[in-house]
Amino acid sequence: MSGVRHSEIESLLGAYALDAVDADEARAVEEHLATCPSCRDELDAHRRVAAMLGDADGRAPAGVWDRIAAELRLEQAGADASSSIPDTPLRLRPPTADGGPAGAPSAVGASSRRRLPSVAAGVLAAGVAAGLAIVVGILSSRLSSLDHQVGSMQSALAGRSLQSMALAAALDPRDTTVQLTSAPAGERATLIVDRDRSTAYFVPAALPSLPSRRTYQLWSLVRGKPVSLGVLGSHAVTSEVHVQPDMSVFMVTAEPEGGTAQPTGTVLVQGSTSAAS
Amino acid sequence: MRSDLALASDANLVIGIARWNEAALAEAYRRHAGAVYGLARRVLWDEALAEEVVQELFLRLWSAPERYDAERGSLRSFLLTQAHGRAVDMLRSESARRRREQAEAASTVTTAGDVEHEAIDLTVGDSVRDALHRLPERERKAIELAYFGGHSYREVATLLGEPEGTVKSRIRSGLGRLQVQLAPMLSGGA
Ligand SMILES: [Zn+2]
Repeated sequence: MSGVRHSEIESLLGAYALDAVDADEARAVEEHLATCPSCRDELDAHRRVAAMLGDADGRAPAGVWDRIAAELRLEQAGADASSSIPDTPLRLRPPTADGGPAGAPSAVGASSRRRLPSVAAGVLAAGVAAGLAIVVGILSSRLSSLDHQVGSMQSALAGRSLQSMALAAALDPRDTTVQLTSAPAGERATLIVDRDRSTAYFVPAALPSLPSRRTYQLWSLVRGKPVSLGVLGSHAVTSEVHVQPDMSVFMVTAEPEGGTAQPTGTVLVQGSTSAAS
Repeated sequence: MRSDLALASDANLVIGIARWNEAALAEAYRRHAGAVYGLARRVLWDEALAEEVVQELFLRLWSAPERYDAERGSLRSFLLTQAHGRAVDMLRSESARRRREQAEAASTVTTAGDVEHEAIDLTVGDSVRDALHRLPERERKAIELAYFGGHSYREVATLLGEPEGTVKSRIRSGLGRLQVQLAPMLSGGA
């Protein structure tokens, strides 16, 4: 956190907590929050105060829960329908979050009644270039005990070359390329956000292997909160991840094997769509 | 099962939701949907849109419960933060803002800030109301216009005829003051 930036951002935190800043300022605040615990703490405090102002007892109108329950059943039906593992690469969409299509919660595919939540993708693509195997397992860390299930899913699925897809995306001018960098250490990676704004390809450029019980994990900041986009493994390789259209700030941390719900390690590389182009 | 859930902490409900337990979501809804609806309606002045906010929020809690981080605050605070953000997003779309202005015009109070002030006076608890009234008038107005009016701090500056930077820092210092005054209540929620 550079001093000027910090004090500039700090002065916005009250207004940001009340959703009273414009989009550019919100993005700047979110980017700064990723690296500044003291600003995060102040924001949390402001938000708790704001929530107290907005808190009042009352009842939600009848009928809303019924609509929610109906959506859940619809979603469950979709999950059951796609429960067999197909031959083609299966893209397990993460559940809808901010900015997702309204009223279309998660075309989730999963392999059991107890759906694997947020298992965004498990794809194995082998033999692109000579001897190059690309293994991708993206797991938004919802339940860390899912590790072994994701592992078996990877081996169950074989698919197209992710690298060629990433390359194609990189060449498409309608896509957005985000350079993830760290000034001091020189680690680098690229995130290519597909023009559909829901798919992105993570391409590591200079990310050293981690010890075996550690993993890289990709995050985005949404309203100042880190949201996991997936676990990348101790040796990060080209990976397909699912993003939301409103995501603009991305970062990578190193975390304990299996990933964590919230980042615990320092930010190794980061970048944002606004800084790109 | 039901009685277990009724006794469960919010944190445990979220764990249940993460395991796709629909009854846990229903219990979270029972506890907090009314507050979410109330806040969304006060910002939007529109019942149908407020219902949409409730529906979206609880579906989002179902699909991405990991977004809630218990270390950063209570579930209710998290939901109200989300509700406010979503309501303001909607308000920033022209039509919702227009509808709200019509609803405001139809009410009896017209001076900038009065509507927000009435809204908050009617609904917040005594301690929150007292804390607000102890704020310097200009801080209170800026916070109410931003939070309940859904105005950006720049709009608030225009409405109050004050410099933007001044409004920005009044909001921040006012929230800080409220935090001190409300500390006894806040410590329980965090
Ligand atoms: Zn800072």
